Amino acid sequence: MSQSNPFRVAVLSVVKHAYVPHGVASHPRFELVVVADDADQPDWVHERNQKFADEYNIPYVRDVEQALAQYDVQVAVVSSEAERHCDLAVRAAQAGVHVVQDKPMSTRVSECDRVIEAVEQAGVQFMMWNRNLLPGVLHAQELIDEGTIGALRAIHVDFYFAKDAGPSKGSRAEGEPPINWLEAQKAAHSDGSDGGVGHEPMGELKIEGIYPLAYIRMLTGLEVRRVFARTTAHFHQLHADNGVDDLATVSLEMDDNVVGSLCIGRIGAASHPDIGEIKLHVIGSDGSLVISEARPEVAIYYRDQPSAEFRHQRVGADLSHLLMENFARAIDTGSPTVLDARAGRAIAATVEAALESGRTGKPVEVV
Amino acid sequence: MTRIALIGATEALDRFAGVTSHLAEVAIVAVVDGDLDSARTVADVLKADLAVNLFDTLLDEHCDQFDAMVIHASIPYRAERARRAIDAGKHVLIDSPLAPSIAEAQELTKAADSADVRLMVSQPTRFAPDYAAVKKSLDDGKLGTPGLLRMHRWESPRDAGSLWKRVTRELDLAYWLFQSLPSEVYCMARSKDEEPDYLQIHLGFAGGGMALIDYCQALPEGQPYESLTLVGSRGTAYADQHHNTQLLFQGDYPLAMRTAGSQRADLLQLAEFDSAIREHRTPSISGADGQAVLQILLEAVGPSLDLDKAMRLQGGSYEPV
Repeated sequence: MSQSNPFRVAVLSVVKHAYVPHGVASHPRFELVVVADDADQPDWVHERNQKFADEYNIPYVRDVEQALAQYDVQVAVVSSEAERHCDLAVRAAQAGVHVVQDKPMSTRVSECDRVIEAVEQAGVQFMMWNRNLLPGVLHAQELIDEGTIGALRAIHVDFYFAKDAGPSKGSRAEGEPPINWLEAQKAAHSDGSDGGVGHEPMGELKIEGIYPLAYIRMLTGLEVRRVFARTTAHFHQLHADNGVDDLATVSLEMDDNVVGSLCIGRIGAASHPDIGEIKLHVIGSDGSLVISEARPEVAIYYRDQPSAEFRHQRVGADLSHLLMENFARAIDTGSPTVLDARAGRAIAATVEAALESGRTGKPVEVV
Repeated sequence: MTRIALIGATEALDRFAGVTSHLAEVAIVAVVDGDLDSARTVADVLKADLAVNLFDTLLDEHCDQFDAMVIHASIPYRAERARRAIDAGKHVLIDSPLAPSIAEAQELTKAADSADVRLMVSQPTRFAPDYAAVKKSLDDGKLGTPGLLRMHRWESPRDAGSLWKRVTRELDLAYWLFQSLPSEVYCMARSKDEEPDYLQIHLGFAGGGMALIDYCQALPEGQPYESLTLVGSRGTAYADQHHNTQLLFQGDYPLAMRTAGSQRADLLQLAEFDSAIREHRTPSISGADGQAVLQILLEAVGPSLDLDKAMRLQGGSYEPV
């Protein structure tokens, strides 16, 4: 593949907030050429797919395999409901197509294993969308790799999204039915808070846990072996009604005697002036780091500023471009992507173990 | 005027310098330390009339010259000295943990009640202006129900005492903010050389609340670091030293320095002790509070480390899960 010809990209279902396909499209080496999905999907899925296709002035085909073949696709972007992520990724890989997939990798670790097998058998590249190439995280990596703090001993990530997810916990009146997960997620599409869209309810640990766990994995280079977790629905009626967490804490035991922790939650829009508090605390043998993932940022305040507008805006971050640059290089050279299928699977397994620990109250080995 | 005897000179100087200019109704009248020269030096600075090197001398020969005692002593001796002070009718402010065992802590509390003297456990962190502001926002209802407490504290190596007993301040903060004993406790410790210098404590509370404590004693010599975040159902408070640093440029990378507030936690705590004495009421950190923290430490944190298991509160005691 000549570097002068962009990779032809198929978007395989784009039912939730479209930041991943937009991110792919933002890089000059990738060109969206078709949107595709299975014909038997419900109308609301087809509507959203068609709308995205119209936005890019590209066709929408209700046949995934046909689209992959007909449009000479080299890359697939998977942005469906989480429960279909792996199936679409496997089918793309089996068609010889490289894959960029939205998070979470899957709702089941066994599905992740299918992706690994398909990707490795086909010899294609796979990347989970992630935040590892944000300036603050890269700065932490640079300092750690330079030996500035010596050998790693502990790493902690706080990952709080200051977003709402419908009415507060305890607000449901007697006699009112529980909030339906899928319908609530479909309604959240309007403000992009629909990362959990699908029939299967998912808590914050499952939906967003990949981000901080990917930081930890990249910065330490280590596998998580055992976890102890607490999970709860603390903020939102939606999560309480559907038995999933909107707040979780996980203690991590990793290789080389390194430990860590993760605090994650959808803590409500009132709890931070911006997207939320995302912070890394790293302890080494010769020093320690406190890193705010949001920096560099600029504070902007003005009269009649909408309350929903972030007061601090991140600057100097080109995450989408860097991720797709990494992916392009992986395709060109065969080098691993920044978050490949095996890493995605390891993170999914850590999340599963944490959820089990939250249920049992015991430490759980990561399998 | 509440007349106070300080037990333990070195700690006293650091924590009570300037007390007379801040607390008009409190006077430091005596300093006791095994090193008489140290006792005299500190007494001089604090304008105390009496410096002695024996606790017995204070009680036997000067009992009518003070009303209350602030006890800094190693853990095995603390409770014994506190008990003798209480038996002599003196109010006591004692470092945490207040005793080497829960039973001794219970005895102390009962003795203080029987003698009708005030027993207060020292946790100056509760009076630190930033943490007091977090608590106030919680008590005012601004944060709703507490869901997650995240604490980091890093400092340079200390040369005495078990690592896990140094986290009583974080355990007390968690107990104070959640207003209950944790229902689950899970701990991990790590060592750089022979002795552990890193501790991670994971707490669960009834109703789903949780806390994570990261305590490290391995920072290079220099300023310590601490940070506390309390996430509640309605709002979140961030008492984060990362935000509260100033920059000093002297070439190369700038130094990040913390600006100390003018209010001092130790003096605010002493003021509360004095108020409790005057008002004849239970102090804000009582013997029962000290007992609770000791129970978390001895029945949950220690055993969780030893057994490599989570501990669960069942029927008033912690059992392995």
